[in-house]
Amino acid sequence: MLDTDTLSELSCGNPHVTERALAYLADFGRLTITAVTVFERLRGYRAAIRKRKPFERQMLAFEALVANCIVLPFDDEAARVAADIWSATARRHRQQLGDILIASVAVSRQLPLVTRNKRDFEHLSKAAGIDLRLLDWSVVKPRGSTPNARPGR
Amino acid sequence: MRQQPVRSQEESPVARTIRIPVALRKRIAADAERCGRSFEGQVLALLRRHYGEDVDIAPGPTGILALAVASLADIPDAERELLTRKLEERER
Repeated sequence: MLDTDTLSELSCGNPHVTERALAYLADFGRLTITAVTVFERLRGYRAAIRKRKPFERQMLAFEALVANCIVLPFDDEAARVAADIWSATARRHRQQLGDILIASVAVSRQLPLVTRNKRDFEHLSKAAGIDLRLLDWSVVKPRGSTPNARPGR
Repeated sequence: MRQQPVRSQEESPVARTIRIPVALRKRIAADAERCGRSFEGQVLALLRRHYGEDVDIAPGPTGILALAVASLADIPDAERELLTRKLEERER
């Protein structure tokens, strides 16, 4: 499951992330993201378009991308996990509310989270005592490393 | 402005790999040629005609990555920051 930063890196053409994403897509056909990431990106497009920025074409591309992803909802189980994380976390880490919501979806579905901000997510998982497996596609894949984890639903 | 709701998983298109036996593949290919369609176009035409629903072909890995890149293409760095900004909580 990709976090918002990883999807942004992919959108910016980061070569390492692109390589890992291609390998993943060859195995599983679709990327997995959360409704939180969809919100984070769509609000930016909508706000920019309201300010008369010509970003309609890019927003349509994003919506087409989303239509070809598995989008996991922020559901009641994720809400419980998010509340646990939020309440156990120091105030400065609570500010990254999007990270908490995304981590909670990954934990509630027992999915590994692909992020380049491992340190931030490690703070959350340590504070809340949760089992959050983290992967980073922005670094070169070590030789002989394990293949992509199955996405799950 | 028209607001397009984000589709839920139930409403989202689902990609499937279909394995077609060789003999049937040949029959579909022959029909496709007769109708002036590609193989995939023939399968889609059959599904559309039978079910009356808008089925389509899911893009491959490079097609999906191209959509990702297109979602930020031609946007200056300063504007990109606004589009990729993460959700934050401002506590009082």
